[in-house]
Amino acid sequence: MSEEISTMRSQHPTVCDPVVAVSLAGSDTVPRPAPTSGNGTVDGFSRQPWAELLDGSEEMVFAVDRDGLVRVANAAAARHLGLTAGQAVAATPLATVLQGPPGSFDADLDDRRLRGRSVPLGEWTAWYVRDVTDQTFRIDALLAERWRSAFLAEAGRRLGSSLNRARAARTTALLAVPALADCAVVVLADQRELVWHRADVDAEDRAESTGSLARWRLEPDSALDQALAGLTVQDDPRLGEQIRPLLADGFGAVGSATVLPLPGHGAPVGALILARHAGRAPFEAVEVHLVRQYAARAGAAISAAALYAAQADAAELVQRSLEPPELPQVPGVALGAAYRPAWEPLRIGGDFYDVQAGPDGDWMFVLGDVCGKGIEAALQSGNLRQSLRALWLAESRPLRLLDQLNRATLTTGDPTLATLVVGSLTTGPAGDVTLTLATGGHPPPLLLRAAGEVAPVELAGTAIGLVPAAPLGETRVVLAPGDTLVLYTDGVTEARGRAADRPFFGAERFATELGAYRAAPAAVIAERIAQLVADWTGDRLHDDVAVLVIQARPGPATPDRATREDV
Amino acid sequence: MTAAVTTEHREHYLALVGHGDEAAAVDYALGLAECGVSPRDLVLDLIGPTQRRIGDLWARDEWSVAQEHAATHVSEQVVAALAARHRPRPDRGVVVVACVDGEWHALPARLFAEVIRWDGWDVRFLGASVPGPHLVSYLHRHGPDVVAVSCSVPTRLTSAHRVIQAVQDVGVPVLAGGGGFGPGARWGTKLGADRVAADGRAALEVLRSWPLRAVAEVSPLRDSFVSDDEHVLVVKRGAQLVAVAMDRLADRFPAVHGYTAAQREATEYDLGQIVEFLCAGLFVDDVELFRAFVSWLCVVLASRRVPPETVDLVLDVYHDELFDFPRARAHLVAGRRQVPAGRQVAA
Repeated sequence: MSEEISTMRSQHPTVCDPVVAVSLAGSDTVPRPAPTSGNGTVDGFSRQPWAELLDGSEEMVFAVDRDGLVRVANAAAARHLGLTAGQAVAATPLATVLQGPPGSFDADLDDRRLRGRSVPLGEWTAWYVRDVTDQTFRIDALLAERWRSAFLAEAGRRLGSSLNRARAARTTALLAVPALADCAVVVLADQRELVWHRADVDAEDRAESTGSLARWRLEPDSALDQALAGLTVQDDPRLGEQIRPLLADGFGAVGSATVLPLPGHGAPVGALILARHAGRAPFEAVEVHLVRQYAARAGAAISAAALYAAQADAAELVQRSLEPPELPQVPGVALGAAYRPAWEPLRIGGDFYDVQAGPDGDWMFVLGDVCGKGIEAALQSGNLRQSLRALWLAESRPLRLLDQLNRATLTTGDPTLATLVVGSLTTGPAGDVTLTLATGGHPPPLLLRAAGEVAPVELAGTAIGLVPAAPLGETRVVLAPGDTLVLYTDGVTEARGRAADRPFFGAERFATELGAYRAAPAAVIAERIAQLVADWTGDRLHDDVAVLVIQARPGPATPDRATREDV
Repeated sequence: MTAAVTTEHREHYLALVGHGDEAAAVDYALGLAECGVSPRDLVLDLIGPTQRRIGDLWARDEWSVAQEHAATHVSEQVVAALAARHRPRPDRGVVVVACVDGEWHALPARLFAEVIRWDGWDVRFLGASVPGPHLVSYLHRHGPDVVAVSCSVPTRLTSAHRVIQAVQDVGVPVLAGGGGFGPGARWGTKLGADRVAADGRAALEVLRSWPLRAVAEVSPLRDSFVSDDEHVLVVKRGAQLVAVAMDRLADRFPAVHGYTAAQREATEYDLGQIVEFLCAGLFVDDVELFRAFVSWLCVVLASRRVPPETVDLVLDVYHDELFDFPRARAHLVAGRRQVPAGRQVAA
């Protein structure tokens, strides 16, 4: 301590004292008037105490004159900066800073971070320097940690937004560059094939590429093989050569690399390869931790996508089997159909229709509505359709068909309750079409005569799936050329409007609207009905809508017309 | 050898579809294709313009709605026939084409789908009114490069907005197109679509020059583009507005008292349409939407001998009723200026 005090004493008090005193007053911000009297007053009471006061500060305080010589230096400045009064500051980078213009600076001295500022002090310049090494380190660490958290949060969000496996893999590779590495390869493990997605740092942004390799070509105990078995490989000198085939041609020397598993449900779903150029710093411990967390998120996203794909595949198979069938080409007859399920995710419902060639050269058709909604009703309608398709091979009389279908339904423990119209169709020589219709509890079809009126077909019966000897109705209708029969489900007439009292679409309105479409093609009529109902309800359908339109072609059917439509 | 579609071609084609002559229309289009007109030009210069023409003919009451639908059906068959003949192998990315929920005009989207298919894209056409959950599930399953969202009527823009967000949330970029997105598809931009295309040719260019990535460019936090909820609040008051307008119409035009139920319903539907377009305009915060609608409505009504005063009266009623909705009033004022001059109701 005494040594430093003597350092202070060796200065030139006449010049510095009053100014330093003022400066001190300024620096601790206590508002007190600057001494205006002569030097002696300040000199008299304060030299010794303020010199010691400065020595007690952890801040390095010193003053340099115009020639660069240190004139005053407190204990901390002498200890940490090696300053001695009367000598020039020699050590860089401090010397460089002091030669520059006054102001603030940050400089590294050995392994310390110094932060200083200067204040003009008459002929001298006073410097106040603090050691901010710990503070800076804490802030840097905090920023780095914050960056890592933000990176992981963003990665989690982006990876979680897609349930598509290939997209999740591509995203995993893309997000990793350049944040984690200069090249990232995601390898997806399948039974036979390893599909990889690679992202490289590109001149403009990032470049993507993809490819695959047969699984049997994977070298046993190679880094990739180990990662796919759940092991992380890092800092292996042979790593660069092992992953070389998966890197871009122009990647150059591999500086550092790591190959780690993408954890899945049970076994890894794949591996993540990260490679850095030779110039870039190797993976630090904290980065290894980050990379593992990243791989965990990526693995979770990819395996969730794989799980979703498996379930969605199953759902799609079910959906496809339940979708309304394509209508066949029936000579002399124009067919049209529309289908609007109320249940949206799979676009299937309990309403159904079907048209198929019958056993005796005529055509069979059905339109019906299974009680209930959603996937369950859709599955039941699928069963009914299958049963009918089988029955159609042997039986063409609609009433008997319906009776057999009813009995078949009742053999199951949980019979399907449904209303439907089943019919057969034969074309006559004059372009007329004879329809035989049987119904079980279904709204009667509407008949649009080319001549004029729109009227329901007289047809009644009870729903199937209730009692074995159900009373079912049958009737016969002959369509002259241009006549149209419209079969529909109650989703049409019982659609509720958007007006305040939620009125039904109703049979009357339906008949009136149909009247305007008498001359239109069957497909247009069907589509138009569905559209009218959708417009009527405004936003959402509350019940499925199915429409099947059978029209005797106006005028004789020409053969070339039939063949053209097959194209 | 290439040839271009001429005005004569369009006139002839219009006559064919106007008669609902499917076979002749298909043969005509296929014949032009054989003469060297590219299927793309047939769609963009023959079928597309004809469809717009048909809409115009309906608006001017020259064609019935049934005739319009029959003609559209014929055009659908023509596109199907062209598509069956021209199926290039896809050598670009996968594009899903879907109409927004509640959009049943599938033909414009279908035309677009075929045009980009012929440009080498692997196109999955999901058809009319694709429900959001269905679309999202499809995207998860198939991971396309782009979703092209089609909207033909501005009243479906709120649906379009939901669809655009849902698709982007899955990480797939969106191309918006169709008449519903307004002049130059600018409302598509407003609703946050990654790219927009004013017409089919523009869409081809946009898709060709789009560097598609697996990581969407859109931030998850989106700002609302209107400052208030007027578009939502006016929707809620829709039924009440229609009821008040109906009463005022009956006061002014006693004939309304003698309307049949069907006539009354039709009028209510028209009044409701005005509210819907007003709300769509408020939603995108652009008076041009409502202004264009009122112009069109005046054409439609004038050709059906409905006096334009009725439109003016209804807009006036809405203007009075929505006294605390400054934006809605501005739109209504702009709309009233479109009503043919000198025919307005004295206030």
